[in-house]
Amino acid sequence: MKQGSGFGVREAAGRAGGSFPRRGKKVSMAWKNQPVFSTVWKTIAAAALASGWAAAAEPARLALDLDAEGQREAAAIEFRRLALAGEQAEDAGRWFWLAAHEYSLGEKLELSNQMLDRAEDVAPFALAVPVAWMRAENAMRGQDWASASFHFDSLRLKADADDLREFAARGAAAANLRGENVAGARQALAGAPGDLAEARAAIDRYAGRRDKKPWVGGVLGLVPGLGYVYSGEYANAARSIILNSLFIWGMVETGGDGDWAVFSVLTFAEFTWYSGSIYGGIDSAHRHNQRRLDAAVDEIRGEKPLRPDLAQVPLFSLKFEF
Amino acid sequence: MSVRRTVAQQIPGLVPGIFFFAMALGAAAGSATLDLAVDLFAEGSWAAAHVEGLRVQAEVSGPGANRAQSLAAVSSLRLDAGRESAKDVLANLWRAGSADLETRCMAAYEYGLADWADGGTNAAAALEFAYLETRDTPLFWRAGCSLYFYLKADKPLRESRPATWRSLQSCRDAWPLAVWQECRPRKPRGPSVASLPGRWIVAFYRAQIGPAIGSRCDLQPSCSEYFLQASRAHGWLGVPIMADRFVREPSVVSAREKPVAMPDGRVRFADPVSDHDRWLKGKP
Repeated sequence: MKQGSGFGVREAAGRAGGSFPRRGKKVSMAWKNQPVFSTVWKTIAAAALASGWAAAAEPARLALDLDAEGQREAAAIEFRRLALAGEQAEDAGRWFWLAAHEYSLGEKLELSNQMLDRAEDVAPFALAVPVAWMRAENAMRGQDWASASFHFDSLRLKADADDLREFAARGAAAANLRGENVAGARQALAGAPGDLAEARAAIDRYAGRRDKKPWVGGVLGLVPGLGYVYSGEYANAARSIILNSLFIWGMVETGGDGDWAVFSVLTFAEFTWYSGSIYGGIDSAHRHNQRRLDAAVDEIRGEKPLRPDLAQVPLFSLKFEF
Repeated sequence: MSVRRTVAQQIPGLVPGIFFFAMALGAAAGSATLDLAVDLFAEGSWAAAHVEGLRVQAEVSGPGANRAQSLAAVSSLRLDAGRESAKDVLANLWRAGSADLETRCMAAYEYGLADWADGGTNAAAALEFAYLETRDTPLFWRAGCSLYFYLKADKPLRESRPATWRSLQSCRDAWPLAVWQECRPRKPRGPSVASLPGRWIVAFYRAQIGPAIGSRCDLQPSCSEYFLQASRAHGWLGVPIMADRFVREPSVVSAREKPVAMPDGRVRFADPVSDHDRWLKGKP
């Protein structure tokens, strides 16, 4: 995918008089395919840092450094420490939000959602947009498509910037498509701002073709390699045919010679390859369907980084290159 | 799996009771400094709770330090790391007159459970102390119920404490069902029979073949680990799942998707079992 570049929290802090060491200009791509996501949390961090928290600057730096090192849980704990020490409710909410983000990156979705609950508890409505966003992303990561769609819709309603609404619409469409709701995916894009022609075309392409049937792959897998061929995995098919042929040939030869010990070993091995051919026939159909879905979702979500809602965090504008 | 851990799995309170301990400690803490440690403990983040407890212990003094020390030690027990030193800390807290009574009772309860798991001789005394001295109702229930099961399994010990035993029998009807379930010793679950052939094959490979040919797999997890995981999850179906992986391996490597940097500097390619058995489990 194309990579956006822009100002991270360190650059923002530098502008605001902070003294973070610079460590490259790229926006972190830890949240794959969603550069804007990284951008928003860094924006919130920048807002938190630049809003006069001199006392909290050192712990925040530690948390950000831990984040940079990929120590998600440790970074989240540091943010939580700041939240508990925060005197202003909104500041505590931001720190909780950042902790939620770290937990989310660390695949601890339940904890992430708990932190979002706390952020909302201490600062109701102040973080409506980023909280909705994070909940949607957590739901996507947790493969809870209905919730993801709901939260993206919620984000769309709460957002007051067109590009954020477009992002939310794309997310809702992707969640619906993953939930096998093609009509819902189309509906999610209806009326959304921005150029969504490619996303709509991706949905049409996806809906216009049929999934491979795993049971057909399994039945074809009874002939070694044919299940893989059905799903377009020709190299795997060739390997399966060769392996099965070799071992069947070995069985025939050793059986003919009366070498029953070797025959038994080869038979067990052939059973392995043969059962693998059937399993592979089924699984390759699933893989094919998954790849097709992934490709459609990637197209729907797009590669265009969005601008964060600066009304929420009015510190600086982010600039991305395409 | 160590024998100690196997025994520990039979002892009540080691996994459940997390929230009870955290809530009791949180209620007793009375200080914002321990909030984060208590939260982490309640979430089951033992390592983080241990570190946070030690941090608070270093920062504060008096009763707060004792509570923080207790939490750090119990977290250490849950981690099954530094078990002996954690037990020593809890034993000292239990016996030290300087700590407040509830902290001593909690330390005694946790120490009693740990000592029971280790086959020690102080479990009855520690649990009895917690049972008789605490003013905290949940701890009173749990210490009593645990002590009841402990004494029930040991007739001589039971007969040496007739008053305590009579007391336990008289108040056992008051213990909630959840406390009974939490404190009842549980037998550890062994591996499923269906996964045994796979485990034998992998054990043979790792002992006899792996050392001779070295680490050759370019996928993460390695093929033997993949087979082990598949066998654990699906029994005999681990065989075709593994065969499918052998067939796919060159394609996965050449696709170079999902690279994973290994600690030794090598790059492998992620191919977890979960990517290939979702359909066996049904849709999420």
